[in-house]
Amino acid sequence: MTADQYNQCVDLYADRIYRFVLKHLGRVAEAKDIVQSSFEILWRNHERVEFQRSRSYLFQVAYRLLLKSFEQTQVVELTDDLELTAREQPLGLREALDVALARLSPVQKALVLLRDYEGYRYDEIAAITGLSEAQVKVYLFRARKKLKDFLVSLHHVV
Amino acid sequence: MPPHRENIDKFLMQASNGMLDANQLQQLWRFLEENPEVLANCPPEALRLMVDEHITMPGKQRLKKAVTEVNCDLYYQLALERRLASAHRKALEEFLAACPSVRRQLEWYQYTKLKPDESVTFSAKHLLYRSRTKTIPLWIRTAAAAGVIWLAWLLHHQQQPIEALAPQAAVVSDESTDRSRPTVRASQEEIVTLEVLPAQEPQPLLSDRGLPLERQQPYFVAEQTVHQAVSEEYFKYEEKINNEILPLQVRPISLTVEQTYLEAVAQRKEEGLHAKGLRVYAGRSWIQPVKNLTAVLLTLSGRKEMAGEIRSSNSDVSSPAVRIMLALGPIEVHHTFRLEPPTTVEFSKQH
Repeated sequence: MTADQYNQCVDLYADRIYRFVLKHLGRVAEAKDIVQSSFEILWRNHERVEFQRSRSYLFQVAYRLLLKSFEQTQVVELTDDLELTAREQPLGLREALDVALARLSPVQKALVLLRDYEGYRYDEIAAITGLSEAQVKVYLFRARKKLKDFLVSLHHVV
Repeated sequence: MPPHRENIDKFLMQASNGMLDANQLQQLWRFLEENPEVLANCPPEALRLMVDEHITMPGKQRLKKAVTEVNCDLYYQLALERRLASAHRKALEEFLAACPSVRRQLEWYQYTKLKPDESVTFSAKHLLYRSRTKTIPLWIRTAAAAGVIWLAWLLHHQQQPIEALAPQAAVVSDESTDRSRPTVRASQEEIVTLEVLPAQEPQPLLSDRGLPLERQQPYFVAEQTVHQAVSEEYFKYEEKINNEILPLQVRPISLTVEQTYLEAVAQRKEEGLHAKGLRVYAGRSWIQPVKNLTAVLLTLSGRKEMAGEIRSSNSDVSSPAVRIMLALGPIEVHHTFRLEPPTTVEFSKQH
């Protein structure tokens, strides 16, 4: 990949990776750091990364940095106790989905975002995450079911 | 004819010999269930055949490839992703038509699809762009820097006595100052134009710990070369320069003559601030250019350590311009001063 192509990657993918990471982490500064680091790594390896592969390469790097960031940060697990939610203000669908998303595991969340935000196929997601295609399907199915169950429960409570 | 008490023996005999079909066996089994006393006297062979025939797999219905309450989630998800065969899609629709409550729940799946917020953009793209210039490997940069240092040392050695190379810091003259140390007398007045860092100077790319990922080139090499030539102590400041100085933009400061250096330092002492620590780095030596420079004293409010450094702005040591590197910004200019004849400033090594 040439420097021009690298810069083209910045134009094409910086926003998308930023959205992916920001939605996953929910922390702006950290998301920016991860985007910068991802592109820094791409630049270091730009001579051996083909332009056509750059998108998945960047997502692959960003995904690994995400998980690393999760390992380093203490994440407070949200409880499944729906009574808590019931006492709060009723949530809009978007907010409810954000809350539901936060209840997924980091891997499940990343899979859902890669699938929905980027429209990646299962085999592509498998390549990015290092999981098998079957695992991706199962994890995605469970994640989606969790999201649905949460929305249904919330709907019934509210 | 179904089995009854009169013909039960015949049925049992035929059952033991495997002569009954499935329907007859079922009838026989039903009769035995209704008459447990007959069952107790049954020959084991007949029972074995009948029992085998009636063993069923629990939950057999679930194994069938049909839509049920157990697997409807999977079918619905596949349907949403348009990965369901038409036959199964039809089966799903039939199932949902039969179970409207399940349909209402499954319909929530369509809300689990996330949509990216296009208004969210990465604002710091300018930090990511790279020029066409190929990155020079570290060993080449190191070798070049060493060569320049050697050349600078050689030239300097030919022009100046070796004593001038000693790294020194400007401090105010006081009782404890060793009089044997070199004394510089400011001999002429010169207004100095402060050079502002160029606006387009690239900001260092910071790591997740806030440290620069890559040194600024070639600017850094030039700075490094000059300072390595004058002092080994420079390396003490390397980290500080990397982490604190380089990321900062220097704002333009206009010089106004308010106090002499000594007055400024005296006032600084009165205010309880540390008088030492103003390091005047200009040119190859920290001593000689001072007599031609108007120095600027920068202090940080409420901090006792020296907040600013005055350093040569480029590798042209004859240039009177200085760049003020702000080490611990934000800063306020408290005092500016000019060395005026016959002010005497003494320098000593900073320990």
